[in-house]
Amino acid sequence: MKKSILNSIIMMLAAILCLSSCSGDDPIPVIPTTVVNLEVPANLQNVVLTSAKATLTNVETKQVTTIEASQFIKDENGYKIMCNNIQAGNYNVIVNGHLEFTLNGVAGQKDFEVKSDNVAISETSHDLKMTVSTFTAQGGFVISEIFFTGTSTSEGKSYSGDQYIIITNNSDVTLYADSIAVLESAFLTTIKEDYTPDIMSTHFSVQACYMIPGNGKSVPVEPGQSLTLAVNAINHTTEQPNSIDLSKADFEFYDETSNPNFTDPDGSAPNLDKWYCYTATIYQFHSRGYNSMAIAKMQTSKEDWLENYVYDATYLFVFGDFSKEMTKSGIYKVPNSWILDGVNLSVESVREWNVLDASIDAGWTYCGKVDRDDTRFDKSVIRKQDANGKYIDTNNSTNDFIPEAPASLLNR
Amino acid sequence: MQLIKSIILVLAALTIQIADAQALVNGTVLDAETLEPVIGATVLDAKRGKALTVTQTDGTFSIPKNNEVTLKITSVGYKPLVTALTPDGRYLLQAEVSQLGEVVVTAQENRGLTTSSRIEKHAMEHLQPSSFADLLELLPGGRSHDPSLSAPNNIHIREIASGSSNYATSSLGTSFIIDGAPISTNANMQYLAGAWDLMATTRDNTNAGVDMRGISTDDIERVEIVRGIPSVEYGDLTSGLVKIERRRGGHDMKFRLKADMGSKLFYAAKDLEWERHKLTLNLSADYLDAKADPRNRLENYKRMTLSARLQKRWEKEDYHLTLSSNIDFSRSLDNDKQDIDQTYSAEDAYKSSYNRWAMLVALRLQTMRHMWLKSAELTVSTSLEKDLIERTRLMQLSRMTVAPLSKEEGENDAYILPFKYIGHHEVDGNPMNAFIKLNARLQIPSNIVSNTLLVGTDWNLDKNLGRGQVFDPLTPVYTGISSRQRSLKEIPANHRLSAYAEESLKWPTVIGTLEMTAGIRATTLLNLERSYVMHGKFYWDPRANIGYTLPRLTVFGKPTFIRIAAGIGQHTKMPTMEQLFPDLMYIDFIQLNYYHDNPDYRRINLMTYIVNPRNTALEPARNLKKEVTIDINIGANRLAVTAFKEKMTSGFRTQSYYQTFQYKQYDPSGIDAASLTAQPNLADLPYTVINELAGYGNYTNGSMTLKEGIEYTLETKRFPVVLTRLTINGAYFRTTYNNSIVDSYRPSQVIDNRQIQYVGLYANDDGSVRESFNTNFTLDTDVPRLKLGFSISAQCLWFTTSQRKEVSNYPVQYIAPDGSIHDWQESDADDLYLRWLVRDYTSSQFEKDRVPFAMNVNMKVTKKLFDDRLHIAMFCNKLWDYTPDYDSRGTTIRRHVTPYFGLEMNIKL
Repeated sequence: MKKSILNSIIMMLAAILCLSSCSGDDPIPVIPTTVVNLEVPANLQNVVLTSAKATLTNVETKQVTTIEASQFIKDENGYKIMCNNIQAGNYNVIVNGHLEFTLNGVAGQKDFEVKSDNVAISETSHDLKMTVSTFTAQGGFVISEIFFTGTSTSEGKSYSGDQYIIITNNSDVTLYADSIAVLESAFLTTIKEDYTPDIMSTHFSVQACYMIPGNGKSVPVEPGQSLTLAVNAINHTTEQPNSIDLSKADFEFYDETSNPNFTDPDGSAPNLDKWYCYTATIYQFHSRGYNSMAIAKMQTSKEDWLENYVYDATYLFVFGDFSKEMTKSGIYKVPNSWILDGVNLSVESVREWNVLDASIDAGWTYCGKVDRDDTRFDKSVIRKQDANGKYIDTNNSTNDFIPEAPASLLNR
Repeated sequence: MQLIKSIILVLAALTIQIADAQALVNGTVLDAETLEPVIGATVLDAKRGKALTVTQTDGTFSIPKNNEVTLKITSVGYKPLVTALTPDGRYLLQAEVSQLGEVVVTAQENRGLTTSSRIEKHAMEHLQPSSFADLLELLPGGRSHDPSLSAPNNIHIREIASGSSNYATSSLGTSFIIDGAPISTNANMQYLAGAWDLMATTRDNTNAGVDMRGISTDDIERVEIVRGIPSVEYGDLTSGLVKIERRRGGHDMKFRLKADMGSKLFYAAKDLEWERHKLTLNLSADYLDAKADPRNRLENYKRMTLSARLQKRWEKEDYHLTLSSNIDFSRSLDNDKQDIDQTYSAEDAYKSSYNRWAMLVALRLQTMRHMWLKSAELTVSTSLEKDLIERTRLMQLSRMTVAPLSKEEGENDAYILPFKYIGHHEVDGNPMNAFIKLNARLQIPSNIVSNTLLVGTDWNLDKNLGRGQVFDPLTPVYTGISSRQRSLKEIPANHRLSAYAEESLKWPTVIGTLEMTAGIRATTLLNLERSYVMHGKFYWDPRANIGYTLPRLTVFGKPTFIRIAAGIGQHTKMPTMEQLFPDLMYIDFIQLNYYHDNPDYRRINLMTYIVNPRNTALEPARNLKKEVTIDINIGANRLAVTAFKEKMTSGFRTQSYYQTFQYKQYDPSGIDAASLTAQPNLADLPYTVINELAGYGNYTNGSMTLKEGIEYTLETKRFPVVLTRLTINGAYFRTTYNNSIVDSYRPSQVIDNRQIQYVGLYANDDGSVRESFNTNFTLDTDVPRLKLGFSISAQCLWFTTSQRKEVSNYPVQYIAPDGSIHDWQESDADDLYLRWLVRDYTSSQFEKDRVPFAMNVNMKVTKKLFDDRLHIAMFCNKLWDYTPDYDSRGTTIRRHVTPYFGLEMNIKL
């Protein structure tokens, strides 16, 4: 196969040579080495290029030179594509291929094609530069919605089994969501304590960590696509007509237990891997939004994290005529550098502080301005979108989120 | 009735049989003001100065007939009386310090050997109580509290209560006796099994003794609260005795109307007396309506009491016979409801009612002749309660929840509850109590000492005839509870039999008067299975009080009496019915949890184990009390100081135990949901056998309560001109609580999808030391001319402290899932799982907390109008306060005090 292609190329070249010599002009020089420098977006790491192909088409002669992936040489900014012995002239250059990379620690992939027309290749100009600009690989996974309030029954009682969180791939590349964990803060935004040692600038203190399982590339998420992680991935509307059908959720927070007091329905969605939870009872989000939430790409093994990321905080607890040095135990920590996105939640009337570092979220958002506000039900916090439909992420949820927005999955 | 008749016959026969020695002359020495017998008065021959005899417990004496003799009668505290001997004469001794007409609005230290506080009618009128709980302010160490009538009020004598149910033996072990009939709480089973909501748990009063809210104060003539060592006549107590005596006789029609910031009280009574027939009848009714918050009509407490008390006396020459009979009804009702308009347009209510009928027949025979038998008493009391707790709630579950149904061990399918239903749970209890007490006071004739020998026996029966926890397991309020319905009738009746003997002596000598009461009481539980350690075992309570009164001194020209007294005594409280026969525990494990969109295909399979948590090694709680008192009287001024130490090492507590259980964990992941046509078949599913630890509680004797302290009361005479009397009383208390049994704890954390599988065992866990020191300065003024009384009480709490006992964060051992026990190694603190057994107490949690000085000033006013027919009273507690801010570990603690007002009107017709 290769041979026949090669043969035909030689044949074609011979024909072209014959044609050009027939024109009777000066002989066109052959450039021994032309280098096409392919630059990939600088924020990609661990870039691997596959199925790559470069095609150089001489504008005058229509002669086509194809360079296969084997001649792509990786360098610090991307790849060098070496083309040997092509005639000087104007060329239309097309490079395409498939990029695999990590973006902020998250595995991703993207097909690309870059074009450049009428590029002059001459003895003096044989070092071309082409930039992969069809995608920017900006952004990444964001928390696009947290529905923590639950719904209410026709009698007005709280129904919290239908809580969910949606994470969205806000980039223009496909990203893999496995090994991304949903984290719940160990500290409450409504009780400020001076925890010692203070690690907030480097770590997020968590009391629950549920990770999307997979082998690293099991859960691709296309740009702009979302994953719904439901506390109970079942169709709630059969039992509570005011609720939501979450049976099609992508993942479920399932709490396996042998204790019949804490039965958790195991819907058909795959279960999140429960690395750690502070309680052996049922896990659910704080229905008034006292805890901040984050998503992080877990960059170490479960065993290593469980073994080495415990955080024992002490603080001075003051209540009434009582003040004591206390230890807040049962906390794990996640380096801020692993965190992809985080949202501080609180309630205005009782809020005291943010429990995520300002580099992750400098603001906060809410459902319900006063504590135990029953009008908060059916509402969630939803990230704002720009004109292009991209989620706005300025690391300030006060600006980035719509508080008290109708829950997006609630059809009413 | 046959029994009573025959007893009377025997006693009458005894009386007649004892031949009257004709050569003797009898006399009775009485207090000139109170007409109460003067015990142990020395009867002398006035001329020769020779002591002839002493008066006995009824004030009587007898001496050989001698018409020449002039008698001189002396007794400590009385002016000597010199008089001629008259046959069957009544000799009235004048007290050195007259208390005549004195209105006492505080509690008074009892003048007997036993350390106790007496609270008289006047004090209650002045205090304006809503329930018995309010009276405790008057005890040394007491302080006024706002009435808190939406939860049970328990008594804590000489104690800074911890609030923990593991240290409730003090209140459980305080016996309340009304007109001789005990209030038994031994068969109280009114708890909502599985309840976790405050509505229910804060009102649970099982194993905590008498709820004082239910005792109305209006009929009470006097109360004696024994803080020290009571007579062996009283048993089944560890910590104290409350003796309530209600009014008998009179001709009044009375009404009382009281309102304060949280409650309204209405009382009506009719007193009847037919002097000629020596017959009295007292009828009364009382209604209390209290609200936790005056703006909330739905959370309230109501009490209604009805009482009829009859007494008939037969006064014969040889004997006096008194028949007392009471019939009482009381109803207590706790209500807590959510506002239907504001919330769920459906029921969410808690209602607990106690209806108690009590009947008493007491027969007292008093011999009037000079003989060994002085008196005999038979008391028969019964009570029957109809108690009902009703909890109704609209249940709207947020997730698939199951109801375990199986009452047998083994594998079974759980019922999957609907997401919406009305849950209803009742607790139906019919505690029944019968009490019979028979005793006699005998006297060994002696001319040197006045003595009484008390011998007696009592039998007590407690049984509960109720249906117990009543709920439809298909509509439970408390889902997943570990107990099932059990009829309380199945629990064997509690029979308690006691016998006692006690000798009281009073020996007047020239170097002072010696007094002693020493006795022993034996108690055993009958009708107890052989497996119980208590089976057939007698528990002996020896108790003794000794006093020595110095001869009369004169200080500042005033007659002065000083008495030093000491006491030591053992006290025993038998476990309650619930502690002896707790509900069976059903421990269920989920073997399969399969959810399907089609409800018919869902399946939750359980493995059920039944554990009987009864602890056959349980023994009674025993409290050893020791105390020393000095009582100094200078004129009408009095100072009494008591130092005490009470040690109870065997208080009741719940302790958790862990045991390994096995169950199958089925793996439903292979089920093809789409192809199911029925519930998944267990036989088709792969499973692994899992060992898991599960805990349950049982009662042990692991709670120690050590009470130490000093109580003091200083009462001055009423100063003339200002007509004011000063009472200074208070106490320093130090209470130490300690658990002497290994405690266990399983962390709740879930690591890698499974709850931590280990249980830590911690030595001598839990305990605290609390101190308080207070002084109440009460100035009470009584202006008889204006019929006005008022008092100002400055209640100073000098400090309170509390300190938790330092416990190790590290377990001594741990239990692995297979049940094996391992010693804790230092390196375990780094283990991924075991490190969670290390608890997180910091050293500052074991530091002593000290709350500094606080003072409240209370004011009370009473005014009588229209020839004493109208009596108006008001009180304002915490009218003024001094509660300065203080610093605690760098934090400024601010304290706030809210005044509390009340007003009442009494009408006497």
